[in-house]
Amino acid sequence: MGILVPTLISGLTIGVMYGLFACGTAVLYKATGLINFALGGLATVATFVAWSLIAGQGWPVWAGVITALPIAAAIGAFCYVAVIWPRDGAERTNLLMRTLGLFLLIQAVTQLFWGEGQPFTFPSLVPTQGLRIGAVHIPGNLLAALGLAVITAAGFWLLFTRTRVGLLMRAVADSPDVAGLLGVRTKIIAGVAWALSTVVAYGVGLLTAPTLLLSTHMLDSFMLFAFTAVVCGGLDSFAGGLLGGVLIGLLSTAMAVFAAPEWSVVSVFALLLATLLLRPAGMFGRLSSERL
Amino acid sequence: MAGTSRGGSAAALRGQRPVTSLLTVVVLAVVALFPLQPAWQQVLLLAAIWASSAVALNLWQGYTGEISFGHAAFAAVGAYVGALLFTKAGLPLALAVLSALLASAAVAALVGWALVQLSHFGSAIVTFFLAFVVVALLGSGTLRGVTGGENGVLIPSAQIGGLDLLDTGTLVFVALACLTVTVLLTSNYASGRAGRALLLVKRSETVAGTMGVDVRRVKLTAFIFTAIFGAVSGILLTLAFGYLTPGLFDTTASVNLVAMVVVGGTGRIVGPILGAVFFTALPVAVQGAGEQQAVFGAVIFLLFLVFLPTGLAGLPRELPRALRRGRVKRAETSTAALVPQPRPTAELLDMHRVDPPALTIEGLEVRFGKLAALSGVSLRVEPRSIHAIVGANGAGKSTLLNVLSGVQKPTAGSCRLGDTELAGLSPQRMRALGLARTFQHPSHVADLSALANVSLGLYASRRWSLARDLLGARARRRGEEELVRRSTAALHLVGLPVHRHGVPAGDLSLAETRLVDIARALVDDASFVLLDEPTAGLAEDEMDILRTALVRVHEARGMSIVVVAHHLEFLREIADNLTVLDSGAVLADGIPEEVLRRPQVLEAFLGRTPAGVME
Repeated sequence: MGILVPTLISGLTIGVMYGLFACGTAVLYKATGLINFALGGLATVATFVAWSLIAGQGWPVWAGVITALPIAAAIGAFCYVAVIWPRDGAERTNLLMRTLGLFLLIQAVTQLFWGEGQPFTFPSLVPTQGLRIGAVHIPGNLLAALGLAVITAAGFWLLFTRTRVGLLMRAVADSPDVAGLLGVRTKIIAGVAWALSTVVAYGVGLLTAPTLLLSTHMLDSFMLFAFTAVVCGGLDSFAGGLLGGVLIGLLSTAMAVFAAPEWSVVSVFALLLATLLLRPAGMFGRLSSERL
Repeated sequence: MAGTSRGGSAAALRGQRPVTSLLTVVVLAVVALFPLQPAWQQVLLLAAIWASSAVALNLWQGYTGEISFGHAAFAAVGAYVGALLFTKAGLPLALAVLSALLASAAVAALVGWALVQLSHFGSAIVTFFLAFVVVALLGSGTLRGVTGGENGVLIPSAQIGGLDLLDTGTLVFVALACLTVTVLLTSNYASGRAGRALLLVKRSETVAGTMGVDVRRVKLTAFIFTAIFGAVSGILLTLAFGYLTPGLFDTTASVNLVAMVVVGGTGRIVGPILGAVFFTALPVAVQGAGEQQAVFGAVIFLLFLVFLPTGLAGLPRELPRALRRGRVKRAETSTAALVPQPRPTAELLDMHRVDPPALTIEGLEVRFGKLAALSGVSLRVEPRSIHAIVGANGAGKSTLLNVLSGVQKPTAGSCRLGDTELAGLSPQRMRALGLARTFQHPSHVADLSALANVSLGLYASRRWSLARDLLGARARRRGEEELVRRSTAALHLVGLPVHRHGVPAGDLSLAETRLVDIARALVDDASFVLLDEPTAGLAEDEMDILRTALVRVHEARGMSIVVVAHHLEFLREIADNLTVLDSGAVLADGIPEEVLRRPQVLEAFLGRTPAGVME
């Protein structure tokens, strides 16, 4: 058995987290037609908030984590209101660049507040020993990530196919103008999507911080891999994003173990290029067509 | 208006000239002559260096409407390839530089071919990733033997013709000379045919495709062009520092480039130069701010994106507009009502008669999942006829036009033009076969004149070389004169008054844009013109003018016309045949007068209404 099974398991663990992050990206894309380059930054801020409550104020871990949850949602919604809301009729490239500007701003601000003394240790939320099935050890982190992923993907799927809010989100992404004419409060819908995606990304932050250690740049490379997962899976598909994430987690971990760390980045980049060349809509995606 | 200056009729197509940009470079050169504090000398040098990248990047950001979040990667590739070939392989400086530019272009071609497959996000994500990969590889253990890892490469000396390039005082002029070349080439690119095509791609990739523009190819070419100037900056940067480390090209450097274009002014040649000066001067200007510097930079970037997206260069235009706001809501778009134009003389028109074959559609089916937009549609468009297609919303009219212009691939069935099977062909191929279309919604480049918009219809059929475009207005004049002549003829034919030819398309009235759209469709001797709702939103008298134009165009050229419209009275007067679509199938087909009397047609259109009531 040797090194193969542990590699698979750690690849799966990180892959599910990429997938989760991809879901967070996809939910915003589905609702607003935008990809948020600041999502990693938002998640980092929310995780730092939880950490401040726990390490700084001495709160119990569960209390800090739960209190930071609505704060994460509020941060997401606030960023939407502050950065995208004003003159949101601008070109798509303009809005996309705004999320990049937001990413820079968040990074600068977190560096200012928490830059000194990083990285910090973050308490693990799940028992690390996990499960043991025969000779195979399944870490608690994987179980937690899997659980969160299933809940998130199923929840989003239900949201978009079964609820009014989800239907409105799709309408807004399809054509904000028409949805607005139909009386949909497009801005509120978009704000909700920002809050939702930030909460999901915060979940990823919580799961990664114990192993990667909490720092202002913790999720930078994460974001690249998660974006690749979204593109591979199809921009508007949750299942695709999850699956893409797992694929990338396995690929990058295997490359890091069997080749060299830098080749894991290169191999994922190669996968991104190959996907765009062979199937630009992704595994499960559909390229939206333009109205003429 | 433009067009009266020396230089012949080709001036009618000319875009912005880089006068302001060249003046700015001169000003920077004059400043460089003065003895400056070392810190400001460094600012000037870095501004001149990064400005080359930013000016070229503007072609991608401002003209194509795409984003590159990782352009410093191309600077890195150029810098490293150049430096290593020069110091380690001992190549002559000129040869090392040339290889560096080629290496950057090659990397851009490789990733560019992938990223043009997915609009907007493809470029943003791939370039963001590329910058990360390049920096990671350059500093990695695997390549340490070559690149020196995090320690980098040292340039001991670099001289050319007795000039010491490592001397800041000398290098700043070299950098400004490079910037001048960048400005000239970029402005020639942007104002030539390729630049106009990029603007159309930015407006709508689908529309550009139906004009015969190979969207991916023109985007890829522009991307490679920008990458070459990224390498120029990279090489100059190497000389400025005398050494290279991967850190010089990190994400911050890439984002700074984007910010330079945005803050300076997207889509304007001079903009990125101003932006480069601004962002290189910022750290020196707010030296006391320490850690908060990065916050400043990000806030300024965001403020510009939200409140002044046209940047510093757009200020002279935006400021008066902002002051006026509140008093005047919006400038009146149409200055004069559209009046019928006298029939132009034959030599003005210079158009060829065309000889369209019959168009035969058999068993055409288009499905979107479970929904059939068209099912089993068969019809025949006779040569030289005007064939009307009517039907309620959702009847499949637009889908049919999309199939006939290559925008939508049919699920089953065939469309034959003469003996040529059309089903499954690309929009460019359709255009090449002589099928051209118009669009229901305005689909023009608002900043370009009516004439320049029409000239885009000639994109595919005229042989053209980008190299000649890059040489400047003089070199491309002959080609442009032909474009202008033919486009003018097309505009005469549809009856757009001459004084409106030079007006930016964004300032034309709806009726006028319809005429321009028709001219753009027929300018390339199309034998088959598809009109998508040409009458929508027009007043009665405007519809009369449109009808006159259509009849005249049809008489002069003899092409077949397929027209989709809701105004039955309009169609009854011009159409030879009429097909009624209902729920994706043909309900009736024949001579308009007769078809419009059939009971099932009346029922489909008006519900149960007695005959004779129809308007």
